[in-house]
Amino acid sequence: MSSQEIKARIFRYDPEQDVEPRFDVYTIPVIKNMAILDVVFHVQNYIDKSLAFRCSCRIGMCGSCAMYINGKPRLACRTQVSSLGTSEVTIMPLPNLPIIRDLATDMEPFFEKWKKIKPYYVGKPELKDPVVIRPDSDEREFIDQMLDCITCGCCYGACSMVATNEDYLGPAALNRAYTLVADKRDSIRVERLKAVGRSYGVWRCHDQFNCAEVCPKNLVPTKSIQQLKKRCVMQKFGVFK
Amino acid sequence: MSNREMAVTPRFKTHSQVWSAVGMWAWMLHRLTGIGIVLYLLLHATLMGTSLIRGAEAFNATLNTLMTNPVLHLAEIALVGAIIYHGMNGIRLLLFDIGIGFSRQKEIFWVSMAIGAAMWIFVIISKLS
Repeated sequence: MSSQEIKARIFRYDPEQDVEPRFDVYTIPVIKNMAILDVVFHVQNYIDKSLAFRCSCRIGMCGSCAMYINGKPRLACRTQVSSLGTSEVTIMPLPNLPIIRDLATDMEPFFEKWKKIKPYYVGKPELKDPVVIRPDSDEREFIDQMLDCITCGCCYGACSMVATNEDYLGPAALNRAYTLVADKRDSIRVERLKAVGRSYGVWRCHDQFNCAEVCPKNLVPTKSIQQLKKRCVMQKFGVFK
Repeated sequence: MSNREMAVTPRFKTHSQVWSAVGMWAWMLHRLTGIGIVLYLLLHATLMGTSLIRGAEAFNATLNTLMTNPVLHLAEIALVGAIIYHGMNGIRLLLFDIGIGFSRQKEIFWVSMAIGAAMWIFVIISKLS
């Protein structure tokens, strides 16, 4: 695709000036290994300086550049133009989040919900550091994959349950909650479980798998949510302590 | 505007969804068939109620009118299809609820749909023959 061009339809909206959002169409020369982030950078550098978007690391580990690209939330830096299989690219801001300007969304609601599950480890006071849980012991639960979350918000933007209910905690926060609830050294597991075991917590998930579909780290938050549901039931029966 | 102020101001959001994934369609169809089956059950209960409210003859007459209508026979095939879909996808969802098959959800969907389609075709053939 070296000497080709692509047509990029980019969502433009400045809440302080525009009454309604619009799409601007730009024609952009394709370079080798071009990512969507390169496309928006090209627009900003050479065509329209006022285009707003967010990015940082450019290698898919900071989770800043999530955008809604050709029908799916994806990381702009990890989405190759050639992988889309089309010469027309539609770039929109991440859904379900308020727009600050153009492609930059306000992640505040996402992180407000992240806070609600108390996303940090609280050790049991009687435990002396370092606590050893052997990898092969029964106490060690499988959470390795779930820890890879980079809080990019792709799952949050893809989830229809978030779209239809503002109070739903969303896949990322629940996935984080599971990694902590599964940690036997944690002292507020039951409290955490009570925070997620509400109708707008785990029970709002309807196994749509949109989160798993779009996760750039290939996590399956649906699985974490199911594990939380299981523990919520166990806790109600007094089995989970 | 401070971050805090911005967070409480209602601003434009998009609600675009992921329509290219099988899970979204499976869910949508599950909802639609579910609502359809509930409506059918209400109609069914109403029909059965006529025997209690208006007696045996009225019930027989109503049933006769309904069951000689070819359109309703086709609707019955659709009803069986909806129940098979809802049941097969329901089994898929139950598997997830007991913690099985998260990494293979699409394959499980298509396998359950293949079994469901076979069942539906069997019903259609036996009804039409």
